[in-house]
This record gives sequence, C-alpha cells and structure tokens, in this order.
Amino acid sequence: MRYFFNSLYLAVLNVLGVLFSCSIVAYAFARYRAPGSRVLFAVLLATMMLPAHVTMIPLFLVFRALDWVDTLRPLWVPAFLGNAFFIFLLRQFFMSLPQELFDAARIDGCSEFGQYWRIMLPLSKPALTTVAIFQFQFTWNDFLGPLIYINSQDKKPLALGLQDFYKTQATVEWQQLMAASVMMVLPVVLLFFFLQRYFIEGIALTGLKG
Amino acid sequence: MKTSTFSRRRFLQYSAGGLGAALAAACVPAAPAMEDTGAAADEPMEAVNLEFWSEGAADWAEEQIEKYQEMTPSVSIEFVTFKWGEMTPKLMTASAGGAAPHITRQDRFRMAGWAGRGGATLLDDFVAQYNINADDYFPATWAEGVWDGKVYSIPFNTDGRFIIWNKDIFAEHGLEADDPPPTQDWEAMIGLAEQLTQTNDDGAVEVMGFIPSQMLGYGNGGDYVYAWANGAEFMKDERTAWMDNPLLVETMQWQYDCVNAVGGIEVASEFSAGWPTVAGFNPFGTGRLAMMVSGDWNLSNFARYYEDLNFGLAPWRIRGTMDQYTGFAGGFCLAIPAGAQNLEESFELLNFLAGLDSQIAHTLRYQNIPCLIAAALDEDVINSSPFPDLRRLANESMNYANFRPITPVGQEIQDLWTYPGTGRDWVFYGQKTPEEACVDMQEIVQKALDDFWASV
Amino acid sequence: MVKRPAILRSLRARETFWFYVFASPWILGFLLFYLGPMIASFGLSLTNYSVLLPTRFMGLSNYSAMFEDNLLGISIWNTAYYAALAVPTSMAAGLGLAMVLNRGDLRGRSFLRSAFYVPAIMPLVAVSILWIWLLQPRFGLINTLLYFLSIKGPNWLGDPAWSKPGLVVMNLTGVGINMVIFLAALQGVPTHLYEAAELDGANRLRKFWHVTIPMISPAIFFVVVIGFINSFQVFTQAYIMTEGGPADSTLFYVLYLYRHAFNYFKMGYASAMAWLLFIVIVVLTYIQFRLSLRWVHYGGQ
Repeated sequence: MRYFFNSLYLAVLNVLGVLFSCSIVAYAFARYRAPGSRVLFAVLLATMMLPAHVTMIPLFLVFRALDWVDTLRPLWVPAFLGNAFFIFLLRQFFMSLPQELFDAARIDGCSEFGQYWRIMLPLSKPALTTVAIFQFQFTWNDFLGPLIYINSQDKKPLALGLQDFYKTQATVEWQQLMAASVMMVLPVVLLFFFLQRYFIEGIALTGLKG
Repeated sequence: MKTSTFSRRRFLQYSAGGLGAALAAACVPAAPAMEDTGAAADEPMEAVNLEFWSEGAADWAEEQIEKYQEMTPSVSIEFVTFKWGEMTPKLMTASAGGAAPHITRQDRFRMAGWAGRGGATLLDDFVAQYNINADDYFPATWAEGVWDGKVYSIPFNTDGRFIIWNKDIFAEHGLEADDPPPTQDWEAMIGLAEQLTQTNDDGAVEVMGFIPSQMLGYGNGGDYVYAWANGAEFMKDERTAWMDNPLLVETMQWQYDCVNAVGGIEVASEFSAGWPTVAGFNPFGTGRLAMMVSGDWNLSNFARYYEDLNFGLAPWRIRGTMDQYTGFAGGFCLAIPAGAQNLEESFELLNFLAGLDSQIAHTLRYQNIPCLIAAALDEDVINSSPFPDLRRLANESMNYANFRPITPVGQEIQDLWTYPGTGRDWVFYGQKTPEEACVDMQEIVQKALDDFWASV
Repeated sequence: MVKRPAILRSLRARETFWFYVFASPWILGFLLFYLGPMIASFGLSLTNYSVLLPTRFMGLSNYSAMFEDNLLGISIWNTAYYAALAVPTSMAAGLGLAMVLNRGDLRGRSFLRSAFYVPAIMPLVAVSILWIWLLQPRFGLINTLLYFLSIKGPNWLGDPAWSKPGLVVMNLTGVGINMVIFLAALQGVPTHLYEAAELDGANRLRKFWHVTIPMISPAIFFVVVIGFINSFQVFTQAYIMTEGGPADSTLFYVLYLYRHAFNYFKMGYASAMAWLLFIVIVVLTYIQFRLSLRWVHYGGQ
C-alpha cells in the first residue's frame, strides 16, 4: 500500500508539473518569435537525443549536490521545469490553432498571460488530456529513476516495489508477474477511460474562419 | 548590439563549459579524500547506519537483518533489494557519486572486474581477524573472490551445472535409463542427441534430444563446462587472453555438431522459441526435451511444477574419463565496495550474513548451494530438498567444480562464450567457422585486456 | 529592470520579453538538470573513464577506436534498419486506429480505445513474455494467422533475418501512444472544412487526403520526429527479449553502448558512442525540419 501511495503522490505531482510547465513553455515557443528562440527550440529537442545512460552519473551528482538522493524530489521536481517531449507535443498542437484568435484578443486588450490562460488552454483540452495521461503512465511505470535515486523501502514507488516479487535469481513466477502487471496497468486504464471523453467532445472551431 | 550578444554568448559558453568540466571532474573517483572522511566519520560513537544491497533473496535478508539488529542495536541497517542483473547501474552510479553501500551481495565472477579496478575493499585484515578459513569454502567459490593474491569477497551461495536426463524417454529408446549419459564421449553424445530427437509428420520436433547451449528463451547451457571437460583455458596469463585456444575451437565445433545432429540451428532455435525463462515453463519438465545441461535449481522447480517427471542428474565427465568430473560454480558473494565508511561495523555485519547459520537459512528458503562446505553438507539442508539424494550429489560435486576465468574482463569472455546473441552465435548460425569465431573473440577480449592494463 | 518600459515599447521587444518569461521554467530546468550532465558526458568521452580506475585524458582516441569496432558497425546497421521500419509502421497503425476509433457511429468506442491503449502501458517484462508466445514459430498467434493465409510464417526471433522485423511487429504494442496523439489532433479539425469538401463533391479518400492530413500534419510531424529519436535509441526490447541476438542481429546501438558503460566498465567509450549517435540524430532531425516546411501546415495557413 505504501508503494501505491508513493506512486500516486509522484504521479499527481508529475502530472500537475508538466501540465503547468510544458503548456506555458510550449506557448512561448508556439506564439513568440524572439532572438534565440529558434536556437533554444533546437536545444530543447537536443536534450532528447543523448542516451540517458551516459548522463546518469553526472545527473546523479547534481542531485547528490542538492542532497536529494533517497528523497522523492529527483522524481518530481524536474517535471515542474518542463519536459522536451511534452513541450514539443504541445507546441505542435498550439501552432495548429489559428493565430488570428490571439491577435484579436490582444487588440481587445487581453494580457499575454490572459491569452494563454483564457484562449490557448481551453482550446487545447484534448492535447492537455493527452499530456496528463502520458505523464501519469510514464511516472507510474518509471523504473530506472526510482532504481537509481531511492533506497528506503518506505519511499519506493510501485514499479520498484514490485521487484520484491523476484525472490531468487533465476526464476520468475509468472502468476506473480501477471498479478503485478494488473496492479500496474489498472490505474492507468481507469484514468484513460474516464479522461477520454475529452477526445470525443472535440472543440467547436466551426465558423472561426468563415 | 552585435558585440554585446557575442560576448554574452562567449560568457555562456565559458560558464557552461566550466559547469560541465566541474561535473566531469566530480565523476572521477577521488579516493584519498574518501579515506579521509572515512577516518573522520569513525570517531563519534553514535548509531551507525549501514546499507546492504542484494540482488534477490529479499526474504532471507530481511530475516537476518532483524536477527542482527536484536543482537546489535547500535547499528541501523537499510536494505535495498534488486532483481538479478539490475544492481549494476545503480552500484556504478552510486560508486561514482561516493554513495556506494556498505555491503553488497553480488555476482561473484564479476568481483575481479570490481577489485581489479579498485572498486572493492580489501578484506585480508578482516579475514585474519575473524579467523575466516579459505578451506571452509568450496575451492572454486573462494578463488573467485581473490584478485592479485588478495581477498575481496566472501563466498555466499553457488549453483552447479549438471547433465539432467529424462529417464522415461531413455527407456522408450531401450537405453539404460538409470545410467548417466556418456558425457565423456563427445561423439556418442552427438549420436544420442540425434537418436532421441523425434519429429512428427509435418517436420515439427516432438521431442528434442539435446541442445548444448542456451538459445533464445529456454535454457542455461553448459558452455563453460564443455570447455573445462576438454581441458581448455580461456587465459594464458593475466595479461594474455586465449580465446583462440585450439581446445576451445574444438569445443565450439562439438557444440555446433550437436546442434546439427538434431536438425540444425533452424530446428533448434524454433524449438527453443516459445519457452520464456519463467518458472513452470520448461520443455524438459513437460517431457519435450530428453537431455539438458542446467542448474540444480531445477530440482525444486521440478518438484513444484512437474511432479510426475522421471529424471536423473549427474555431473559432467571430463572428456575420455569415467570417474573424473568437472562442474561449474556460479553464484554470489558478499563484498564491501570501495569508499565505504564504518568498515569495522560493515565487516561484522558481513561476517554475520556470510556465516553458517545465515547460509543455511538462505538455502532452506531458496534451495541453492551454500558456499560453506559445512552448510552444504548439513543434513537439514540436504533433507530439505524434495530429492535429497540428488541434492547430496549436487552439493558434494561442488568440491571439484571449476571457476570462470578470474580477470577484469571476465564479463567480455562470458558474453562471447556463453550468452545467446553474440560470439558463439556466429558459429551456431553458420556465419563463421569455430576457428574464425574464436580468433575474433580473442581479438575483442585481448583488446579489452590491453585497455585494462593500460589504465591501471 | 530599468529597461523594462523600453522593452515593452516595440512589439518585437515585447514578444522577446514574454517569450523569455514563459520559457523560463524550461530554461531553468535545462540549466539545472541537462546542460551540466550533457557537457560532462562529452568531457568524459575524451577520457578512459571507467567509473572506478584513475581517469586519463585520451583526446579523440575513443572516437577513432569506433572505426575499428566491427560490432559497432553492425549495431549501426541494425539500428538504422529498425528505425526505417518501426517509424512508418507505428505511425500508420496509430493513425489508422485513430481514424477508425474517431468515427461517431462506432459502437463501444470508449471501450475499444481503452483496449488498444492497454498494451502500451503494460510493463515491458510482461509484454515480452506475451510476445515470445505470439511470435512462436509453430503455435504462435501471428504465424497461425499467416498459416490461414497460406503463408508459412518465419522463425521470428530465432532467425537473424527476421528478428528485426519481429521486434518491429512487437513495437506495435506501443501504438496506443500514437493513437492517442492522433485522436487528440483529430478533435482540432474543424467540421466546416469537411462540410465544404463534401459540397465540392469530395469522396472519403479525398477528404482524408486534402482535409484531414493537412490539418493534423503538425501531429504527424511530431510522431515522425519523436519516432526517429526514440527508434535510434531503441534498447529495452532487445535488452529483455533477444539480448542482441540471434547472431548480433538485434544488437542495437544503445544496447551495445549499455554493455560498454555498465558491463565492461568503459563509460568513456560509451560516452563517445552516445555523442556520435547524438550527432546523427541531430542531423536527421534537422533534415526533417527543413522538409517539414513543405508539408506541415500550422494554424492559419
């Protein structure tokens, strides 16, 4: 049960974190042209292109310098500071919305933050739902992060805690493996099932351009 | 404007470079500094916190830790468990960050890799202080913990490799079912493999005779055992690999011939596919495989999943002899990574965990072979097995079991010689002759060895 | 700070200001968690770093050693082969599923969507056992289906010629991810465009080609770019399922890198390998962005 709550805690923080940080950063990339913005976007994509295995040790040292090892912080704080995959995803969605919407709002005196908050976000529900589902799933299934950063039994999330099923070296009991899989999958499926209405609703953009 | 951005960019470049260089430098081990802090931390006599990491065996570890804490309340122990094979990235990361645990239970044959690179604490003084006697352990298991004449780990548990045969299938073919297969006669083994293989009308293998080595999915072959049975060595000396040893070439050729005798690699790999390495899915247990070379852990699995299986188990004979055997000692050891603090307390705990009672408790739980001879031959241990006679045979055989090459490049040798996927596959899949494959393996291992000796 | 009013004066300056304000969370995260480790790994690629032994500067010798590494060449070929098959198949399958499951008249739509998403979230260890059975040459589901089509299925993971296609098929387990992205994108296609196309007498295929595809092209572009980035780093399937075999046929680049980093104590060499891969992916992504100017339509175009 402890494992379950740790996973839930991490999943909720991570989802909130990426929803906030990635949507606002993606908005910056989609909406504004600024000196350096293209270079920064290239850098953003580049962060996904180096295999994590070779940055693992230096990154561990960063978290160690922050004294965050064996806490849950390395597993959720970064989510509040953006994630290249989701920023790129949301940027693509934001850029497919017509710019005139925002220009009109600006002329009506809507603030820059207001354009993000009152126009971009409500129009992007399907994309944001996608981000929420994906991040929930990624956090729920993340194994390597907890493996490297967590030692204490009471801080382990479910994906790592389920390792206790492997009691000896050579044999995996398949019943246990399947039971563990169900425990891993069920919460994500339920979340998906209830959130998917946002894919069905669609957004009435009809007439905007006409 | 232009000059200002340029200098700002320069500034960014310099500061980023400095940050990265500092991090890179921090990755590099700083051994002297670590010893200093170790000495300083020993002084205050407050509660000592020890970390113990183990691949598997969580139940045993928790039980022993509880016992130990009752006796020694002044230490608190944090236990971290891993699935087999998954401790390495974490141990390496933690070692780089100066956060290695106090004690590890890890793969024994990799110890030379750690010790040779300064990644393990020398235990000689403790071995003397605690009167630990090498003769109390199966020789192969002790040997794997020694590098450059010094002790770096205490053997914990082991497992052997044996020829295991299905007596019912042997009887069907009019063979003497109770006699072990003629493992001393390699030609006869090829003939037997062919003879016992039964194919149905549309060419599918009904019963497989023998596959010498692990294919995808099922199995755990005797690759090392065959080499030793043929008198082959993998190293000439500690700086020279010998993967192109003619005796190894011959061994590889024999394995290839075995596979061809049962219909070739297409047939063998097709048969092996579909058997995941999960307890309860075993072609031998279901009577689809006549002979295999595998470990003693099968005994408890057979009892649990295949009650009616009628099988025999025997050690593998040295080629051309009837009463000389060879075997394989796999398994785990307990060690103290380099840079650990509170060495006195750490070794005291290690000694407790590696002790007789603890090894017996571990064996009763998981049914493998303890490295302490007294524990392996303990009557309670032997009688706890569903097959006490075979258990006794297996445990006693560890006296003459062999050990894998003790070298910092042991993993490279193991990958090429035994792992499905590379090295030996070149031969099985007909891409290279055994000679060519062994020459290529030699080149890879020797290069790794040269790199190692160049960096010490 | 004194300049702020001046900044707000021109539109361009104001855009710059707001860009950096809104992008600041990521810039901070990049400086904290990415920049240092990336530069550090490049620094280590110039050394014989083994984590444990004393580390020495080696110049570019790790990079030159790669040219003599036969297995490295094999792993590059395997990876490129895999990426070339995996990216289009998972893209097409994801889009196809999303199109079908987006239809308003489909019964049990919610259930089906969830059902196709489930495999994508299963732990890979469990998925890999299922695939061992699905791809089993005699009684596996895939070859049984092929048998009914009178095709003799191959010995997927046991045959060096078929193991990479086998893993490409297995990769479709994760198609739910692309399906969800496309479903989200399809919600943004304005219905009046379809109505207008219908008035022009367009059939289904023409509507798909001239309305749907251009409207969701930003999402397609995302899936392709990310697909290549991920496929070039394919690791886990081969690590769990095939261990690079048979006969090195699924020895992917990052699997080979992993062995050097963690099994052979050669983190310096592994870092050099990582940077070579990095450069390849950067070039490939750059090309895709150049090409995208021709076919990706962003809002208002």
